[in-house]
Amino acid sequence: MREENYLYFANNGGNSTDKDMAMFPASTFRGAVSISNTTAEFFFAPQDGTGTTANGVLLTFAAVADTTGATTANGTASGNPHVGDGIARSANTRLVMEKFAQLASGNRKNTTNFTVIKDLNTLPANEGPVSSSGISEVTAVAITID
Amino acid sequence: MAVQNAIPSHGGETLVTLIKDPNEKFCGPASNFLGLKCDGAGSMKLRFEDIDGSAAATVIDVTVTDTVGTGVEMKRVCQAIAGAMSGYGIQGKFVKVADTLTSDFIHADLLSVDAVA
Repeated sequence: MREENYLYFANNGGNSTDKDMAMFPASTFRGAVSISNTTAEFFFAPQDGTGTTANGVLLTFAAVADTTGATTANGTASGNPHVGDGIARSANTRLVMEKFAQLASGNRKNTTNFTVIKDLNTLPANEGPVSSSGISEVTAVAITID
Repeated sequence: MAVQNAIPSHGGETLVTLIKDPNEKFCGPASNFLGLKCDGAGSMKLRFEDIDGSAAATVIDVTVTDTVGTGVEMKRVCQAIAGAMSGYGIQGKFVKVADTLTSDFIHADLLSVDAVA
Protein backbone atom coordinates (compact mmCIF):
# COMPACT_ATOMS: atom_id res chain seq x y z
CA MET A 1 0.00 0.00 0.00
CA ARG A 2 1.46 3.35 -0.94
CA GLU A 3 0.98 6.89 0.20
CA GLU A 4 -1.37 9.10 -1.72
CA ASN A 5 -0.66 12.51 -3.22
CA TYR A 6 -3.56 14.98 -3.21
CA LEU A 7 -3.81 17.47 -6.07
CA TYR A 8 -5.34 20.89 -5.43
CA PHE A 9 -6.90 23.14 -8.10
CA ALA A 10 -8.59 26.53 -7.57
CA ASN A 11 -9.71 29.37 -9.80
CA ASN A 12 -9.58 33.01 -8.73
CA GLY A 13 -13.07 33.08 -7.20
CA GLY A 14 -11.94 33.05 -3.60
CA ASN A 15 -13.46 29.60 -3.01
CA SER A 16 -16.84 31.29 -2.74
CA THR A 17 -18.98 29.40 -5.26
CA ASP A 18 -19.55 25.80 -6.28
CA LYS A 19 -16.48 24.20 -7.88
CA ASP A 20 -14.18 27.14 -7.34
CA MET A 21 -11.82 24.55 -5.88
CA ALA A 22 -11.33 20.80 -6.00
CA MET A 23 -8.87 18.29 -4.63
CA PHE A 24 -8.33 14.87 -6.19
CA PRO A 25 -6.20 11.91 -5.18
CA ALA A 26 -3.44 11.60 -7.77
CA SER A 27 -4.33 7.93 -8.17
CA THR A 28 -7.69 8.93 -9.66
CA PHE A 29 -6.04 10.74 -12.58
CA ARG A 30 -7.30 9.22 -15.85
CA GLY A 31 -5.44 11.32 -18.40
CA ALA A 32 -5.15 14.69 -20.09
CA VAL A 33 -6.28 15.95 -23.47
CA SER A 34 -5.17 18.95 -25.45
CA ILE A 35 -8.29 20.95 -26.31
CA SER A 36 -6.61 23.77 -28.19
CA ASN A 37 -3.23 25.48 -28.32
CA THR A 38 -4.19 27.37 -25.15
CA THR A 39 -6.15 24.76 -23.17
CA ALA A 40 -5.75 21.24 -21.86
CA GLU A 41 -8.19 19.26 -19.75
CA PHE A 42 -7.11 16.89 -17.00
CA PHE A 43 -9.57 14.13 -16.18
CA PHE A 44 -10.11 12.30 -12.91
CA ALA A 45 -12.36 9.48 -11.76
CA PRO A 46 -15.66 11.09 -10.80
CA GLN A 47 -16.19 12.13 -7.21
CA ASP A 48 -19.79 10.90 -7.36
CA GLY A 49 -18.54 7.35 -7.08
CA THR A 50 -20.26 6.06 -10.21
CA GLY A 51 -17.02 5.70 -12.10
CA THR A 52 -18.64 6.80 -15.34
CA THR A 53 -18.44 10.45 -16.42
CA ALA A 54 -15.03 11.76 -15.47
CA ASN A 55 -14.47 15.00 -13.62
CA GLY A 56 -12.39 17.49 -15.54
CA VAL A 57 -10.12 20.40 -14.81
CA LEU A 58 -9.59 22.68 -17.79
CA LEU A 59 -6.34 24.62 -17.59
CA THR A 60 -5.69 27.65 -19.79
CA PHE A 61 -2.27 28.93 -20.75
CA ALA A 62 -0.71 31.19 -23.32
CA ALA A 63 -0.03 30.09 -26.85
CA VAL A 64 3.57 30.43 -27.89
CA ALA A 65 3.86 32.69 -30.90
CA ASP A 66 6.41 31.22 -33.24
CA THR A 67 7.62 34.41 -34.81
CA THR A 68 11.33 33.84 -34.90
CA GLY A 69 13.70 31.34 -36.40
CA ALA A 70 14.94 30.29 -39.73
CA THR A 71 12.62 29.40 -42.56
CA THR A 72 13.12 25.82 -43.61
CA ALA A 73 13.29 24.51 -47.14
CA ASN A 74 9.64 23.55 -47.14
CA GLY A 75 8.64 26.84 -45.59
CA THR A 76 5.75 27.97 -47.64
CA ALA A 77 2.48 29.37 -46.43
CA SER A 78 0.68 26.21 -47.48
CA GLY A 79 3.39 23.82 -46.34
CA ASN A 80 3.91 22.06 -43.08
CA PRO A 81 4.14 24.21 -39.94
CA HIS A 82 7.73 25.08 -39.22
CA VAL A 83 9.86 27.38 -37.11
CA GLY A 84 9.52 30.95 -38.28
CA ASP A 85 6.13 30.68 -39.95
CA GLY A 86 4.48 32.88 -37.36
CA ILE A 87 1.85 30.37 -36.37
CA ALA A 88 0.95 30.30 -32.68
CA ARG A 89 2.18 26.96 -31.34
CA SER A 90 1.18 24.89 -28.40
CA ALA A 91 4.49 24.50 -26.67
CA ASN A 92 2.88 25.22 -23.32
CA THR A 93 0.61 22.20 -23.67
CA ARG A 94 3.54 19.86 -23.33
CA LEU A 95 5.16 22.03 -20.68
CA VAL A 96 2.04 22.15 -18.50
CA MET A 97 1.47 18.41 -18.91
CA GLU A 98 5.09 17.74 -18.03
CA LYS A 99 4.90 19.90 -14.91
CA PHE A 100 1.63 18.22 -13.91
CA ALA A 101 3.26 14.81 -14.27
CA GLN A 102 6.17 15.91 -12.10
CA LEU A 103 3.89 17.32 -9.40
CA ALA A 104 1.49 14.38 -9.43
CA SER A 105 4.27 11.82 -9.29
CA GLY A 106 4.35 9.75 -6.16
CA ASN A 107 8.10 9.41 -6.52
CA ARG A 108 8.92 12.89 -5.29
CA LYS A 109 10.96 12.95 -2.10
CA ASN A 110 10.90 15.38 0.78
CA THR A 111 7.60 16.96 -0.14
CA THR A 112 4.20 16.95 1.47
CA ASN A 113 1.33 14.95 0.00
CA PHE A 114 -0.67 18.16 -0.54
CA THR A 115 0.27 19.40 -3.98
CA VAL A 116 -0.99 22.62 -5.51
CA ILE A 117 -1.34 22.19 -9.26
CA LYS A 118 -2.80 25.68 -9.64
CA ASP A 119 -4.34 28.26 -7.30
CA LEU A 120 -5.19 31.62 -8.84
CA ASN A 121 -6.34 33.26 -5.61
CA THR A 122 -4.40 35.82 -3.61
CA LEU A 123 -2.15 33.77 -1.39
CA PRO A 124 -0.46 34.38 1.94
CA ALA A 125 3.31 34.28 2.28
CA ASN A 126 5.45 31.77 4.11
CA GLU A 127 2.88 29.00 4.53
CA GLY A 128 4.52 26.27 2.49
CA PRO A 129 2.12 24.56 0.09
CA VAL A 130 -0.68 26.94 1.12
CA SER A 131 1.38 29.77 -0.37
CA SER A 132 2.03 27.87 -3.58
CA SER A 133 0.30 29.05 -6.74
CA GLY A 134 1.38 26.00 -8.72
CA ILE A 135 2.24 25.84 -12.39
CA SER A 136 3.21 29.34 -13.48
CA GLU A 137 2.08 29.03 -17.10
CA VAL A 138 -1.55 28.36 -16.15
CA THR A 139 -3.75 31.45 -16.30
CA ALA A 140 -7.25 30.03 -15.72
CA VAL A 141 -8.85 27.00 -14.08
CA ALA A 142 -12.33 25.63 -14.80
CA ILE A 143 -13.52 22.63 -12.82
CA THR A 144 -16.27 20.28 -13.98
CA ILE A 145 -17.76 17.94 -11.40
CA ASP A 146 -21.21 16.55 -12.11
CA MET B 1 5.20 -11.17 29.39
CA ALA B 2 3.36 -11.51 26.12
CA VAL B 3 2.80 -8.32 24.22
CA GLN B 4 -0.41 -7.82 22.30
CA ASN B 5 0.35 -6.63 18.81
CA ALA B 6 -1.88 -4.03 17.24
CA ILE B 7 -4.33 -5.63 14.85
CA PRO B 8 -4.26 -3.87 11.50
CA SER B 9 -7.62 -2.66 10.36
CA HIS B 10 -8.67 -2.79 6.71
CA GLY B 11 -5.41 -4.44 5.79
CA GLY B 12 -3.28 -1.92 7.66
CA GLU B 13 -4.62 1.36 6.52
CA THR B 14 -5.42 4.85 7.69
CA LEU B 15 -9.04 5.24 8.72
CA VAL B 16 -10.63 8.67 8.79
CA THR B 17 -13.66 9.66 10.81
CA LEU B 18 -16.10 12.54 10.51
CA ILE B 19 -18.99 12.90 12.94
CA LYS B 20 -21.99 15.19 12.74
CA ASP B 21 -24.16 13.78 15.51
CA PRO B 22 -25.01 10.40 17.06
CA ASN B 23 -26.97 9.45 13.96
CA GLU B 24 -24.67 10.71 11.23
CA LYS B 25 -21.11 9.45 11.40
CA PHE B 26 -18.57 8.24 8.87
CA CYS B 27 -15.48 6.11 9.30
CA GLY B 28 -13.71 4.74 6.27
CA PRO B 29 -10.33 3.97 4.74
CA ALA B 30 -8.39 6.88 3.29
CA SER B 31 -7.91 4.94 0.08
CA ASN B 32 -11.67 5.23 -0.51
CA PHE B 33 -11.41 9.02 -0.70
CA LEU B 34 -12.71 10.18 -4.09
CA GLY B 35 -11.95 13.86 -3.65
CA LEU B 36 -13.50 17.05 -2.40
CA LYS B 37 -14.75 20.30 -3.81
CA CYS B 38 -15.76 23.78 -2.80
CA ASP B 39 -19.54 23.86 -2.51
CA GLY B 40 -19.88 27.57 -1.83
CA ALA B 41 -18.41 30.14 0.53
CA GLY B 42 -17.23 28.31 3.63
CA SER B 43 -18.68 25.01 2.47
CA MET B 44 -17.00 21.86 1.18
CA LYS B 45 -18.18 18.43 0.09
CA LEU B 46 -15.96 15.42 0.75
CA ARG B 47 -16.74 12.20 -1.05
CA PHE B 48 -15.77 8.62 -0.30
CA GLU B 49 -16.64 5.42 -2.09
CA ASP B 50 -19.97 4.29 -0.79
CA ILE B 51 -19.98 1.65 1.89
CA ASP B 52 -23.50 0.27 1.50
CA GLY B 53 -23.08 -1.20 -1.95
CA SER B 54 -24.80 1.51 -3.94
CA ALA B 55 -23.13 3.34 -6.78
CA ALA B 56 -23.36 6.83 -5.33
CA ALA B 57 -20.59 8.15 -3.13
CA THR B 58 -20.84 8.89 0.56
CA VAL B 59 -21.05 12.68 0.72
CA ILE B 60 -19.95 14.64 3.76
CA ASP B 61 -20.68 18.35 4.01
CA VAL B 62 -18.41 20.44 6.19
CA THR B 63 -18.24 24.12 7.08
CA VAL B 64 -14.97 25.99 7.14
CA THR B 65 -13.97 29.53 8.03
CA ASP B 66 -14.43 32.10 5.28
CA THR B 67 -13.38 35.50 6.52
CA VAL B 68 -10.44 36.55 4.39
CA GLY B 69 -12.32 36.22 1.11
CA THR B 70 -9.50 34.52 -0.75
CA GLY B 71 -10.40 30.97 0.19
CA VAL B 72 -7.14 30.47 2.04
CA GLU B 73 -8.89 28.97 5.07
CA MET B 74 -10.43 26.30 2.85
CA LYS B 75 -7.02 25.61 1.37
CA ARG B 76 -5.51 25.20 4.84
CA VAL B 77 -8.23 22.70 5.73
CA CYS B 78 -7.54 20.79 2.51
CA GLN B 79 -3.88 20.59 3.45
CA ALA B 80 -4.80 19.30 6.91
CA ILE B 81 -7.11 16.67 5.47
CA ALA B 82 -4.43 15.55 3.00
CA GLY B 83 -1.99 15.28 5.86
CA ALA B 84 -4.48 13.32 7.94
CA MET B 85 -4.95 10.80 5.18
CA SER B 86 -1.25 10.27 4.58
CA GLY B 87 0.49 7.19 5.77
CA TYR B 88 -1.64 4.58 4.10
CA GLY B 89 0.79 1.97 5.28
CA ILE B 90 0.59 2.82 8.95
CA GLN B 91 -1.31 -0.09 10.38
CA GLY B 92 -4.44 0.73 12.25
CA LYS B 93 -3.93 4.49 12.09
CA PHE B 94 -7.19 6.14 13.11
CA VAL B 95 -7.67 9.85 12.46
CA LYS B 96 -10.63 11.86 13.58
CA VAL B 97 -10.90 14.66 11.01
CA ALA B 98 -13.92 16.31 12.58
CA ASP B 99 -16.29 15.61 15.44
CA THR B 100 -19.01 18.18 15.89
CA LEU B 101 -20.27 16.35 18.97
CA THR B 102 -17.07 16.87 20.92
CA SER B 103 -15.80 19.91 18.98
CA ASP B 104 -12.65 18.09 17.95
CA PHE B 105 -11.37 19.26 14.59
CA ILE B 106 -8.14 18.57 12.77
CA HIS B 107 -7.76 22.24 11.87
CA ALA B 108 -9.00 25.42 13.53
CA ASP B 109 -10.67 26.54 10.30
CA LEU B 110 -12.73 23.35 10.10
CA LEU B 111 -15.86 24.33 12.00
CA SER B 112 -18.47 21.60 11.70
CA VAL B 113 -19.77 18.51 9.96
CA ASP B 114 -23.17 19.40 8.56
CA ALA B 115 -24.31 16.23 6.84
CA VAL B 116 -23.23 12.64 6.26
CA ALA B 117 -25.17 10.94 3.51
